[in-house]
This record gives sequence, structure tokens and C-alpha cells, in this order.
Amino acid sequence: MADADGTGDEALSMRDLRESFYYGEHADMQYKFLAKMSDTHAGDLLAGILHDVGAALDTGDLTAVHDRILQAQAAAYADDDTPQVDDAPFTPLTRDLSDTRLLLLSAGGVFRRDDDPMGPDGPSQVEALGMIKEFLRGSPTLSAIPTETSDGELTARHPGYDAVTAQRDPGTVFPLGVLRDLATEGHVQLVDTHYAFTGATSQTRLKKEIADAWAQRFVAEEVDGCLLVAT
Amino acid sequence: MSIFVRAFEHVAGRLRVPRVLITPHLMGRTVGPVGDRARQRAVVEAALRLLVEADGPQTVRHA
Repeated sequence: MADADGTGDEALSMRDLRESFYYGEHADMQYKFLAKMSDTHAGDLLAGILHDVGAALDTGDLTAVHDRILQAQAAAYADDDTPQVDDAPFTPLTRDLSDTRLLLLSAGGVFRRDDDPMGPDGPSQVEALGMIKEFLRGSPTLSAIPTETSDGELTARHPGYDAVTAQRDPGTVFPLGVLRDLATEGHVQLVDTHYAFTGATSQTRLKKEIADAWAQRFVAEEVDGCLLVAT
Repeated sequence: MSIFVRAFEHVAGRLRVPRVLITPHLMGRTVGPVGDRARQRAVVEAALRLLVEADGPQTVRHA
């Protein structure tokens, strides 16, 4: 690349910039989809976001920024929804919701601060981004989270999305506090232990080797229904 | 019963999930924005209504 500005730095092309958000120099899971965009569309998006931020500095209203990023994410990840499985299982709820024992299972990489699934010296969120290939080759681990666990006792790590958000507020992907409120008010019952895992994992291993074992485990724990949260 | 962020709605179609609630939130904030407990509760309540009211597979709603 050329030294375009005479500073000795190599010029950064639009493509270089786009791709740097995808596990590169500017790795940011909120914007990694830029790597999939054309230079023109990425340029238009970045200009639009900067324009909206400029307006928000005057108005304090970030709605336009939020909506522009949301639309870009939805468009970037829109994909073929042709079914890849043969059956569409359905089990109707045959009891009152207030008598239903519910389990929360999140793919958001949430875990108890004192029970890191990768050990007491487990990687940070930033370090995890550099380990994405290891995560995608590995086996998912269920983190057990008792019902009474407070949000302050939880943290998160996930190399596929920006888990700093879940570190700030686990309820964004692991709404145990809300479920606890609903249970206290008598709307639903909760099992004693809930679970989370890191969704960035071997999907083949998850589907063929692990999912059934997890289902059997939940049946043994007398779960009536599961609230599954993706990220 | 599953909650998907809108960006990944196609995944629910691929997996033929029994009940799907699509939320209009950014990636990593599926249930609601940071600190917005009221919105997070509204999403969970919508998911529980879906558990009760769905009468067939691949029921999709938006929250």
C-alpha cells in the first residue's frame, strides 16, 4: 500500500478498513458485518452514522443512530431461511403458566464470576476475540446459574458478539432477574438452576453430540419449558 | 420457546423452532437495551404469552 499522506504510514483502503472490524485491528463485534459489505455501501453507512451522531450531539436523541445500525445489521445477516431439518416439533402447553417450571438457557456466554467455565484465569472478552477459531472448533460448556444469582454475580465472554454489553447488564441476554420477579408474583415457576453457554462453538458437535444430552438433563430436572435466548 | 434478534430471524426458519419471538434490538441485546428493565420484562412477558397461546409449530411473533 502507498504512503498516501507522507507520514510513513501505509494507506488504509476502504476494504482494509471494513475487514479490520472482523477480528482485525479494529475488531468490534457490533460492526463486524462491515466486512461483508461493498465499499460503497459501507462508506454510505459510516457517513450516515456520523451524520446521525452529529445530530444527536445537538438533540441528545440517539434513535436515528440506533435505527440505522439496526437496519444495517438486519440487512447484513439476512439469509436463506430454507429449513435445514426435517421436522418441526411442537409440544403444546397443557398446564397453567403459573404451574409451569421454566428454565432459562442463553447462548450469550454468561457465567458466574466465581465459576468461569474456562478456569479462574479464563480469557477476557478482548482475548476471546483472538481465540475465535478455537471456540468454533471446541465443545460448548454449560454454565450452571442458580435461580437466586444476582446480576452483580454474573459476567459474560463471547467471541461472536460484544459481550461487554452483557457484562454491563446480563439481563440483555440472560433475563433471570425478570423471570425471578415474575415467579415471585406467581406468574410462572422456575427450576432451581439455569444455564448459559457460548454460542460460538462447533455447531456440528452441538447438534449431533451435545444437544440431546442437554435435553435429557433438563428432563431429569423436571423442566416443563425452556426460554432460549440467542444473541 | 426461543427469542431471536431480528438480524437472525432466518435462523429460526432454518431450525424450524416451535415458537419464535423476534425482537427489534441490536445484536447482543436480544431481550432489551442495557438498564431498560421494563423493556426486558415486556419481552419476557411476550415470550411467555407465546408459550401459552401458540397452537402449532413455527409460530412466529414480533415483540
